[in-house]
Amino acid sequence: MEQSAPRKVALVANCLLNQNAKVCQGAHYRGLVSPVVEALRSRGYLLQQLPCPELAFAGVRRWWAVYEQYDTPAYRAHCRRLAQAIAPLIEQHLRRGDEVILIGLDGSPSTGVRFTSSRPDWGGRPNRPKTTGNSAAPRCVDRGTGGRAGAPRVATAAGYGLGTGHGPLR
Amino acid sequence: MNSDARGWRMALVPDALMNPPDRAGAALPDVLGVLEASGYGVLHLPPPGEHSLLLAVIADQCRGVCAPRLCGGGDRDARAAERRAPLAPPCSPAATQGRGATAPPPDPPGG
Repeated sequence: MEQSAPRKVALVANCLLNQNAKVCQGAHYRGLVSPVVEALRSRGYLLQQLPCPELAFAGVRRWWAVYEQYDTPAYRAHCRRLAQAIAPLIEQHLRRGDEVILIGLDGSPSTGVRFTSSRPDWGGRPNRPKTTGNSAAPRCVDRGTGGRAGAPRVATAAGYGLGTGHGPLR
Repeated sequence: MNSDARGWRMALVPDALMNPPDRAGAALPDVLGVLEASGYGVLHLPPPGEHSLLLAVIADQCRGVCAPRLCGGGDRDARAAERRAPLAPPCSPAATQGRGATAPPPDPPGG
């Protein structure tokens, strides 16, 4: 098969294409987050949806949870399985020289790029994380995802605005 | 705090429609636009190739929204299918009860 020119590929958090992956009261759209899709397509990116670890693990009727609640051996094994499922596709893109970017979702316990919701002793219905006051609410913590050589560039779609990550989209 | 905005509809979309080749783009409908207008979320099927692990993961993500009826050849098969798919269909009142959401309108005839 003829090797075509390198392409631009956006690895997209599942819920940006499927708001049914969100927890109750977490969705802002019924289905697609169209501004994200339009922004990526208008810049020539192919879309590659990533699996949603939480949706595949706990289903659509799950309630909110913080990072520590999901940080169990079973959930880590589940995430490894998801990574093994999607890694070959990503590897194909990297081997052919495609430009690959990652659009995650800040605040998510699993797919947050820079921040994730966190509270070690939380066990009930979480409140929405706040930047001031309400010391009982989960908070956002830095995930320490500094750039690694060879890794895709990362951005975030928090608030469904683009280009707030480690570099602007081209 | 917003109410539950989810559409409770997921569409399995092949890669050829998610990322149509340039030549085919003009000939194909804007599938994502149609799905967005209808309140569907997308589960992106992989391109042709050996992706059995990824397909299994995608199937896991359908649970709870998609409740396929498995049709068998007899009553025993039908009962077994019932046990395997105990959730109510996603658009039924039973499925949306307690979520603070109303069921979306049914698909248009032929849609």
